[in-house]
Amino acid sequence: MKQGWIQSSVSRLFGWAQAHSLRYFPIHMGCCSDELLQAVGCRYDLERFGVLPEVDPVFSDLLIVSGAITTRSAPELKKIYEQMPHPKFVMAIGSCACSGGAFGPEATGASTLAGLSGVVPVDIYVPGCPPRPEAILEGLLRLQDKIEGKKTASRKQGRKQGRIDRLETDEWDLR
Amino acid sequence: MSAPERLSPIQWDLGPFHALLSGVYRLRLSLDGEVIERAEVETGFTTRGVEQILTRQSWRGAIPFLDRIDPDGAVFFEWAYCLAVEQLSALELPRRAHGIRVILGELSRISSHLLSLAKVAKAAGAESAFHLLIRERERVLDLLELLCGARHALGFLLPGGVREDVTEGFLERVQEVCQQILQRIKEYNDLVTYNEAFVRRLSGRGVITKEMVARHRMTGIPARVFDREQDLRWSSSRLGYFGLKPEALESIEAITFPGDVHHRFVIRLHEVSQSAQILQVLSQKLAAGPFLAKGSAQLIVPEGEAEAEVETARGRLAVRVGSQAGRPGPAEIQFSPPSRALFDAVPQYLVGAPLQDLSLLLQSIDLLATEVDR
Repeated sequence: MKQGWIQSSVSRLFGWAQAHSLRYFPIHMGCCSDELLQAVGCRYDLERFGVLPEVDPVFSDLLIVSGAITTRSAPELKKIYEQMPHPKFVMAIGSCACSGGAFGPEATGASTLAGLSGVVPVDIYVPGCPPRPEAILEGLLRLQDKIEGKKTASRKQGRKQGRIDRLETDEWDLR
Repeated sequence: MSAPERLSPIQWDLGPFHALLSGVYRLRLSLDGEVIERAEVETGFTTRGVEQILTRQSWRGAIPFLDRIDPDGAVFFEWAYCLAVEQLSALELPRRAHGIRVILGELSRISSHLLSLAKVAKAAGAESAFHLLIRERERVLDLLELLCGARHALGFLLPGGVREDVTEGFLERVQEVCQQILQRIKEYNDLVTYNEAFVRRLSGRGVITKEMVARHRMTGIPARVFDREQDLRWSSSRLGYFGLKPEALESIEAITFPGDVHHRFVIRLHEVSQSAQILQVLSQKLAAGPFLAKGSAQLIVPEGEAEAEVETARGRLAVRVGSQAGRPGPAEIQFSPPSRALFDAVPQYLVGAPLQDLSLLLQSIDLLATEVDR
């Protein structure tokens, strides 16, 4: 009984530490990159939540993706995701990265994908075109809750639907 | 002992997602030690086919898509498109619509320049300058929000005018913010621009010569370093800068090297103050009257082709719009963005630069990949 108490306390401590020292690697493919930069600026100040930009995916915990996911950049994005160490989290900013938005496959034909979830498992979605910095902050706070154990959405569902397995092959399949 | 053999150059691929680069593109470098010997640029990672999408839209429905090409200067793409459509349908723009467009354009120019300056400052290691410039940019974005309801994707211009009249109290706030920006620029000059450490870090690096400007047909800041008159705002009457040209457009001397990163930084900062002065004048004497031309509600666009040019924050943006009889929207549309010339110049621009200057050099010419890929 005592052992279990120690284990749960330690994992809570780790969760707390992880949630409040998120280093993110930004991938900017559209307009929402500007809003993320404004959120780093002094009015919104992401740094007070322990969220800081990182220049190398190898040292980062969080991948923030904004903009339309094109078929050409998706394999590169997958590579970046695979470089990140566990535990890793992914955040999609803007309608394009969430679900395709105005530049989804219905609009562009073959050149874009319907959202980031077809490439990497996404932990948190921030909709908006572009979302305001407040929305991005809200998303990050929700993500911190999730890391600390207050689950709001299940991440395994994406895997069950076979979204990830499809990308194991080298050739890019659109369907 | 024989002389040490020269090592073969190291090949280094950067991108398409890399923190050093200012967008999504790939840079292939061949390095001799720490010096860049050869550079190649590969773009096209964010191609969404915006021009193709636009041909399926109506004349007004195309506007929101244009916003998403250039994040920090959304209004310029709208502006160019609207000018071309107005030429096609022979609409006479009211003076007030011209005025509101110029206000929006100058606000976007300030916002875009401040962002670019902030990125240069960050690349040079001036972290506090980054935060100060972003703080100023917030004020400008607040103004855009007050007028259009959006901070970046404005969707405010229409063929034949603008969507709404200015909000109550908007012009007074423009005055206020411009006053503040002009004061703050003096602060920046004391704190950053003429700071000894900053000047030494930036000067003599990334020189763009007059020949390079001519060869790659660069426009915008790199060209205006040598000729301040190279600006469509003053030379084109279609843009509506009636009598707003500043009296003196004297060239600004570089502290050390003409055409280097610091020279461009100074000129960019100077253009921010120039735009703020234009806004101060214009917000006092904005013409009264309608803000939408007659006949723009039921737009009749005859068959034909029209071109328009706009001076964006990065340089000259040209657009060609074609229409066909019986179609509710553009039949053909093609952009020639200013970043194209900048990307063309990058291989020549980077040769001979040390690796630690790479980020600084790339940020200082303000490349935008989404505008080139579209």
